[in-house]
Amino acid sequence: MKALTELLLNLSARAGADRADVRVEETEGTTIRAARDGETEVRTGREAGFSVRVLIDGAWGFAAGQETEGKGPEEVVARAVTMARAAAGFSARPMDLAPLSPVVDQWATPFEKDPFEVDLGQKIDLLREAVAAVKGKRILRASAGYAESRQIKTFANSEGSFIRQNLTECGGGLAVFATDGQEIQRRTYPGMVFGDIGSRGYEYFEALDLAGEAPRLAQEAELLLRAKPCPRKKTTVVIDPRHMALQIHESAGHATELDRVFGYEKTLAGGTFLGLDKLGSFRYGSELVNITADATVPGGRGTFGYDDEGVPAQRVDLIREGLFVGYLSSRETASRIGRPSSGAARADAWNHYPLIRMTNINLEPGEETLEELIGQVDEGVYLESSKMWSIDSLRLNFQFGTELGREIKNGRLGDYLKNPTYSGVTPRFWAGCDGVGGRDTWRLTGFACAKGEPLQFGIRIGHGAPAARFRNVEIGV
Amino acid sequence: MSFIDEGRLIALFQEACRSGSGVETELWAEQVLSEVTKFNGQGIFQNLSERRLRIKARVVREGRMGQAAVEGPLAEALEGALSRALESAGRGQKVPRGYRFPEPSPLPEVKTCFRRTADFSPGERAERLKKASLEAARPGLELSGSLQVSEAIRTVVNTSGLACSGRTTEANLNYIAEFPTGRSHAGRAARDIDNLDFTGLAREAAQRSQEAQNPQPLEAGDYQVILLPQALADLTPFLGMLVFSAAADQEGRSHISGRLGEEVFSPLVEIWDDATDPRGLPEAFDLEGVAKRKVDLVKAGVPQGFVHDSLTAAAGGVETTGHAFPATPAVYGPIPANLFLGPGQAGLEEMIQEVEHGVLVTRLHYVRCLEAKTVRVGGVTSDGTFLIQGGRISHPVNQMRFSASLIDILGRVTGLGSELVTVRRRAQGPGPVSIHSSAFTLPGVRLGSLGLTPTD
Repeated sequence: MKALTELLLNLSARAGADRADVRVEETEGTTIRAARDGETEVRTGREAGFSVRVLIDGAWGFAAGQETEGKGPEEVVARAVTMARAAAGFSARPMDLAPLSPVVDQWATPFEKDPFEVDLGQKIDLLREAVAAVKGKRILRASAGYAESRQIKTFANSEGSFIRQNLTECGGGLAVFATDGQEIQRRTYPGMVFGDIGSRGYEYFEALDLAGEAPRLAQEAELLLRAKPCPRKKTTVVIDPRHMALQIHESAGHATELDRVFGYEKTLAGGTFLGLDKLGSFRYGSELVNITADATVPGGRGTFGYDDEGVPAQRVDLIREGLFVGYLSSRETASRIGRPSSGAARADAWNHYPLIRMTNINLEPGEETLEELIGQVDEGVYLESSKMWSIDSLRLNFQFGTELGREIKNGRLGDYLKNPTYSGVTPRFWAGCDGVGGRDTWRLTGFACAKGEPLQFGIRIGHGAPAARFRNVEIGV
Repeated sequence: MSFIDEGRLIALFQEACRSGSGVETELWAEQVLSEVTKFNGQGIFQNLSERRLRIKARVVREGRMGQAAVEGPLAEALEGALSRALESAGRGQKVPRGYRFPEPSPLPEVKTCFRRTADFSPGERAERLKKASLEAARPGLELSGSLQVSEAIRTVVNTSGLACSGRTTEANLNYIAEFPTGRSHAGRAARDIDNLDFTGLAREAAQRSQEAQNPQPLEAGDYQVILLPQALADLTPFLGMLVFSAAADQEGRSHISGRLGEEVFSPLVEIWDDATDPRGLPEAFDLEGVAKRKVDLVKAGVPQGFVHDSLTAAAGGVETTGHAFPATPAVYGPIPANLFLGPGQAGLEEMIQEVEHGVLVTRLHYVRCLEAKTVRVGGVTSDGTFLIQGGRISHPVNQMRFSASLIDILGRVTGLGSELVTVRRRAQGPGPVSIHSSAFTLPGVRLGSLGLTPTD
């Protein structure tokens, strides 16, 4: 591998690159789905290739290819150089990188059971047990899923870094759909309908105990068909940790991406209301709100050793006691604000350019139990499991829907509510946060996220979140 | 380095199929050279090029299907995909009794590849985008944009004797024009890059963003609404995934299951899928190598049927319509990937004149589905929302939120624009992560009413 990365860096230097970095990656994975009628679908895949990024005359060029033999490396470097030279012809501002000392290291995801060593039949049996445990007259379908993946990455740059990483992840989930012919209600576990994936081994999937959760999901999906619609009013909401993950993702994670500030994502993902003028002074939420980007948290799907610019994984504050204090950044964007990179330059695959992506964006736990969060609500709604999400291009005005709602009356959970939705304006919503659950309610949830052109939707990110309470929230919109 | 010769690839695949000892086999390859140029007011900040080969194998053994996809150099990818598919077949998806991969069928004569697009160099892209930026420039305006140009060869061979290969090109141009208080968008997709008006689109975005400045608040209410084609295209992907897919019908989750022949939509609504129409983004065959043809989906507001791939067709005892879809995972089954909504006679000005008190919407942002059977979707207007009063644009208004059934929205169509616009849209369904990318050729539509609420 060292020979290939050196060849690519040498070819880049010879072609006139002022800086260059290369990534060589190989990803292997399997997904399995099992349905209620005993059907299973197994898909396996492998992808391998490499990419080169060169800086020439202050402009970046990027190219990716797969042929490591013969003229392959030369052709990819030549394309990267062509892209950089073309960009230099329409560029008013030279690009550069925030400083970083060279790193030579390797890193691997710690795990107990290697998922790739577990028999396929064993995995399928667990999924089949889960869907078999889904019972009910109005059940339309049930689907249990499993995913495992291993990514072996090598990064090297012209500054002398050489980093090898072996990233393993595993997880799964269960989705149950019920219908009365007029509508479809669903319940999922854990987290969103995608299930949950962590940077862990097979032990993580086993511990999910999908079969154990199946009867509850089936019962709730059927119950929701008969539930009251969500009323429209302003009230207090208590949100479960799994849906909090999505709230954090959309309104804090994306909002703090520094490339959005510089307009790099306008044509697709959008910008952000958190402009540079707000850094360090803007009140994002109440004093209970502490949000971090932590690529070091054990088991998080966004946990790694180094990002795709060779920056070490780190934990940084984004929101501290309600104040906006930090961005997710890359070396390139960080150089523009005179700060070090926060280690968030990441590509979802060998052929894609590293963009600013979330790592594990976490709402740090407070002290209350779920019972205490609910117990202090005279009238409100408890919301659980994400179903629908929409937010404007500046990450300011949002609307979310969850799978399940429960009335809260006099501090106790009451009737079920179907299709609950709520909307808000990001800083106003977080300012209304007056209760944050403790470590006992805190859950890590693995996410995938789409961003960039060409679209990168395989990025591995995580969110750690406790349950939390918010006052004066518009529901039923 | 050029693409692998199509004849050589077909011969290699046929040999691999022959050596499969009677196992039903299908091999699919996609070779792509894709390049993206992204720029803003300070010039190009990302200029990206990728070349990749992806081979996908499906095998049927003892009534079960195994499938695998491998990216990498040819020999490695072919061997890897085949061996993995064979390994997983024993525990794979059960296929309908007697299922075989599709047999060859005559392919339509459609021009899908334009040398001009394939040869459009990075230097030419930078030059044309720079020129368009300069020509659209106005004081206070920042223009951002992206241009994606790709050339792809897709090859399918199976043990039923099917062998086909086709080359496509595509260019996708999008601009965002922004003033401090006004923003808009213009964009198009085409097989032939010469059909994209670089400067014209930049000026269109610039003009609308200028008009969108200083938006005023608008009260919540039911409004007559004109959705421009780009806004409609933000909704229509859900039709493909949730309504017109035969998989949705067979699983009982489509709104029109059991309602074919009933008037479900406005009688003005005509929807069809046609990858042979040069106004869209033509394709000659689908992921399984089945010839593309026109499929009527809605006539005069009445649903006509569903689109099929070979698996849903076998399950339903009908012929595949050529709509196998390369989603990963393919949780929504076959999908109409070249959807048309029939145009009307009215120009945009005429459509506006018909509105006494309403709202014109340029685009929608972040549309997601809350309930699949009624296709209840929600999102926010973006890139220029305008109040119409007395048949004329009155002034720009703040972005507005909506939440409504897409079935109801298409039931309230009271007018259709005469101009068809082709765009590519990606959308995420309400199920597991599966990003669908389809072509939509659509007019603007006028809706009798749509509930809008302020976002602030």
